[in-house]
Amino acid sequence: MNKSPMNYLITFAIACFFWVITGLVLAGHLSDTVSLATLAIEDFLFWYRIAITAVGVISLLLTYYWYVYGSKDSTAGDLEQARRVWYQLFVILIIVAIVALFAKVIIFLDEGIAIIDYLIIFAALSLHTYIFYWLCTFLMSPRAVKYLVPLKK
Amino acid sequence: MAYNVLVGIGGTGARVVEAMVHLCAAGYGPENLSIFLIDPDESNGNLTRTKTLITLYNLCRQSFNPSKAAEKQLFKTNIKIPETLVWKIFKDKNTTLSYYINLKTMTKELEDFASVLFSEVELNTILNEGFRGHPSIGSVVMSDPPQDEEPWTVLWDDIITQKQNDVRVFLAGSVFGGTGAAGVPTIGSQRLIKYNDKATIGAGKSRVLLGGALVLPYFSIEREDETDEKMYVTHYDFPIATKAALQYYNEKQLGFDQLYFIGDSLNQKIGKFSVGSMSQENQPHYIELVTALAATDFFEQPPLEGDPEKLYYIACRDDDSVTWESLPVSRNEQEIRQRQIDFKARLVTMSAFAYTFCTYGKDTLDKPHKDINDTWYREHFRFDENKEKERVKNPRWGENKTQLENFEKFLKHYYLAWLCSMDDNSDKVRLISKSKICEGSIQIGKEINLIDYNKKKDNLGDFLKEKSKKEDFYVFINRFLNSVNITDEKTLSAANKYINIFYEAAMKFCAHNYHIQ
Repeated sequence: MNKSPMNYLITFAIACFFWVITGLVLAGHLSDTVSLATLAIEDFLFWYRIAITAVGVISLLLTYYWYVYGSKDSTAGDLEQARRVWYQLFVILIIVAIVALFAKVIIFLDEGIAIIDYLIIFAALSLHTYIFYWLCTFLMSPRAVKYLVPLKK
Repeated sequence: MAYNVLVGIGGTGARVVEAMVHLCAAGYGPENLSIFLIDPDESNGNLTRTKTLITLYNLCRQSFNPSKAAEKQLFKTNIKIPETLVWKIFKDKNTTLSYYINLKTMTKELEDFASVLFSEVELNTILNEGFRGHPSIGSVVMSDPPQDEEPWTVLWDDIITQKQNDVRVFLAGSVFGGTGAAGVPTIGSQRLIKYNDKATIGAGKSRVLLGGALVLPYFSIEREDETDEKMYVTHYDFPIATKAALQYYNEKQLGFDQLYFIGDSLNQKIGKFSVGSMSQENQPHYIELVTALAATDFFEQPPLEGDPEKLYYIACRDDDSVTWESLPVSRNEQEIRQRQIDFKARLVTMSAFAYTFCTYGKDTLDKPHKDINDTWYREHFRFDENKEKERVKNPRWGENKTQLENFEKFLKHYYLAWLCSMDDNSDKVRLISKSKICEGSIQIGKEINLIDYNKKKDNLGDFLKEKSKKEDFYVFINRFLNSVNITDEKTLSAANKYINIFYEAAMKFCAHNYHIQ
């Protein structure tokens, strides 16, 4: 699983699977629970799906970057630097999730969306960003860097 | 199986044995080899170095358990040595020739005769430090060795079970110095070994197949000051001594079945002038490696039926540079190319193994276990440091630690130092590039400074003086070290696992980078 191109393809498949869960299943749940002041539920779902797609693409690209970086011979010679790179990407994706949530809060400021719904949205964004990144790199990092991922034994 | 004995006579002989031990460590030696040395100058630096080397070789080999890939390669040869490794000729210290032959108790006629054969200086010089280029003294004192005492018993211990030509004895020494020049023809005489009572099976048949390497002048020595010594030899005396020696070999019916004549015209400097003792510690020279190759060729020849025919070998190269392709490795023309490739593969692999093990391998071991995330390490060394039961899985613990320290000492202080010393920076000996492996001066057996692999990461793929892919150290780690898998070898100790991982990775790296299969 950690060999190219399998890791790239499986990572893409996981991203699609997460999108189905958040963009269809969770979106269906949100359409039943969210109460909006002015906006139509279709418009809310449109912006929600735009957000998860955007963060999903960013996460996918950063995960691919880790695969490319982790496969380089020079990386194997400096694992301390590689570990720093992994954490930097992880933190970037946390920031991406938070920024995307704030964007939503601003867009839907007048709609009176409940905190619990924002938490569900943040969970969806988290799943697409740092959780997705951790899961994919945990399972499919190139050989030289596989033990840098937290919790990998 | 043939029983092989290598006898190193004098300083050159000791250095040939040194080269042979390194070949054995690299996996290019015979299956079994018994070694002993002959030198009256027991404190001679060359001899001390070789004795320590053999002891260390045996320590490493006894504890080493190879994986399938390293089997029949690393430390392949079972080297047997007697408890008394060196026959130092004289039982008493400060012996002179006059004392040895009991000149004082001789009749007047005999005393006069002795003074005709030997000068006063020759008769009265203390011989603790060898024969100082006077083989006529050595031939007298070496003509009747105590064959029922160690180390000579190595030759005869199991001889009764051997068939004709099955005991292969190879004598190595120079023909131009003192001990070697006296010892090789004296010990190679028909009666001493070849047709010794213990070796003979019927008339004209012997269990011993006797080979020898006559090392002709191949080095020069720097001489700075005049010495107070009255009797010594310098490299200016070598040609005359050689001429006389060769004439002797030509005229006498010696016991040798096969002889290798080995010499060189590069005349490299191998150290400072010394009459002997500790200060006589010369730099290794590629000719000693060539002589060890001759010994290997002798030991590896197919079994001989019947009376052996006398064979003489000599090889030469196309020009004045020494390359991997110019080394004489076999008597059989059809085998030369393949054996050259095999020899190069073993030595280059051993060198890459030694360098990576002693640099990156050592650095990794110096880190705490929990801080190491390298894949090759994590997949082979899984243990909880806090559990006493799991300590044996730690390569830094107890016997594992001792074994790895012995290996490091052998590989760094002896093997790499020996190998790098053969490069004299003249660009004539185009085997290994010393500057790619170590820096500063080299003294075998002492600390040497290996090049920092982080600063010069390209050196690992470029330490031969010939074309290569020039892959760097990171390639070695990423593509070769990380792909080694010996986790199935449950029987290997942690130290053995550690050694085998590096050896297997080095083997694959060299095959890829240096185009050797």
